[in-house]
Amino acid sequence: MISATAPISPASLRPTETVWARWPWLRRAVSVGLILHLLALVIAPLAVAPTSPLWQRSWLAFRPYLEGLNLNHGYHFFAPEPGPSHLVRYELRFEDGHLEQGLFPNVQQQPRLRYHRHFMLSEFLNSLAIDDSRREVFDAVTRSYADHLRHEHHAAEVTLSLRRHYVPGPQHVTSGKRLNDVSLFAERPLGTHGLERR
Amino acid sequence: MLVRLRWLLELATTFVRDAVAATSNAWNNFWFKPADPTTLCLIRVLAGLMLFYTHAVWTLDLEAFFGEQSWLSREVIAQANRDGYSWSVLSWCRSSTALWTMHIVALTTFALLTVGLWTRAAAVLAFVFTVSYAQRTPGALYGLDQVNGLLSLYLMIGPCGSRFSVDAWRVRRVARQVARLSESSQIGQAARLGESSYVTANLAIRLIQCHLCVIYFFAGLSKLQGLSWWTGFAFWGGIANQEYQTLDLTWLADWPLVINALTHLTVAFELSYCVLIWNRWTRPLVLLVAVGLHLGIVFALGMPTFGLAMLIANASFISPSLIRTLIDGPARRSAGGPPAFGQQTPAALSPAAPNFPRRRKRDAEFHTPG
Repeated sequence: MISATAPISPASLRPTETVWARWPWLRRAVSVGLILHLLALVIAPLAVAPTSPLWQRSWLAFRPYLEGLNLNHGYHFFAPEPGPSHLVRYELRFEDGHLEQGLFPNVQQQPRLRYHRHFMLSEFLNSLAIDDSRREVFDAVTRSYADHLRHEHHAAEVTLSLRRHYVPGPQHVTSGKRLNDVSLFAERPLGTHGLERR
Repeated sequence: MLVRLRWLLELATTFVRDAVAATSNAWNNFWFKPADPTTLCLIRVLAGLMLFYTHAVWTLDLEAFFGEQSWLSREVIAQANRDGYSWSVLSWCRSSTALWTMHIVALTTFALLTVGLWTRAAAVLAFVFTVSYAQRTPGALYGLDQVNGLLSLYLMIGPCGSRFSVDAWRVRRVARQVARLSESSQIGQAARLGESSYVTANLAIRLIQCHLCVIYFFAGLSKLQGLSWWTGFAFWGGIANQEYQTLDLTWLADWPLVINALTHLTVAFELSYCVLIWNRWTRPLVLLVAVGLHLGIVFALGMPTFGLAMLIANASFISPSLIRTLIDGPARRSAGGPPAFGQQTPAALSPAAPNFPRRRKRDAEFHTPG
């Protein structure tokens, strides 16, 4: 198994024999572009907190490119810690006074990708909740989720809570604790949202 | 003294000149050497399928995620992206009809990319739609969308429709007709088309490979900040997370050393990928571990799409000759000898590539009457 770019021509085929060599400036321009592109790819994860002022300023320079091409990613999968997961519990109050409760994500949702989209919504809310510098956005997102739920269920009012689900240690599991043990859950109230329009 | 100084200066100049020339040659060989587009074309088919599926799933909740009363309203996205440069063609859709029309166009685009019809235009549009969906609902994204984004970006660059595609079949059919009229004009056109296409195939594949190295490296580096990745129990945090798990591996609680080993292996793999993948001897092992890791994500962590998308990106390291052997070999045998579907691109017919004996042989097969 060799490289996917193994040339179909023999090694003796020099770049001067390619169409690119007829316009050397094109190859140079593309080379500069490639260097900048690779630099941008590296700067995006380097600028994720905790980071240095150097990477922050570099990121600002590349920001239009990174965001414009949707390349602004940190690639911090399950890092720095896998951590607990988060769900959103909601309670709907209808005009006639009756109440209904719900939770998302709902593991019954199929296909799995659909479930995961909803799971990411609740994780996104948590990522904002723990970031004091984005308090304004957190409030706006909470309000948006509430408005969506109210509209979806034709409810008058919705009360949201962010539910944290801790992961038990291996020693707890071996001693008989279940993954959904009630002691593994904690909730943070997110307020009640009424009929006020966005 | 002066002679010695001059000798030293000349030595230094020669060294620098040789180093620059060697680096320049290595750079050009790495990025600009013409390459077989077979791997890129296979990635197009697989990535096209993944893009189609990923976006088809949005159909179930289209208005809930992208409509006027969506989870993340347009106003919230605008607020979060106040000083940013994100964009989305979906923000043009102010009515349900417009949204559904756009969605159908997007799904059609992904289908066209998969089958390779009007591939170049489909690849550009596929990228536009991939970015648009992602940036319209940033709160619902995860690794899958990042990999989809990079694949759709680089597929725009190379001749990803030159094989395994309706376009290739059409070109072959036209070439056959032209060959009957004028062999020379066909040859000239073929040479021009083929030559530049191969360089861009290399560029696209190299970009996927380098991007993948960046992803793995920073995935590994970021884990070094976490205590559980050092104490060896981070792997447990994944398999015992009920919101992720689709396969119960909590019996591993009785095997803490196995959990430690899998945790450390994950970090070691991610950190070393960008080095070991380039060596021909270690590459098969690295790819084998990548397959194991991502199949684990597929079956145990409930992210089949993300796991498969990463494997599709890893396919960029598979040799085109291996893919040709695996796909074309059986196809040719079953067809009794003629070239496989999409095999005969204009470049393959070109005598401008005199050192391509296999291609010339196929060329001869191609010109065989009847």
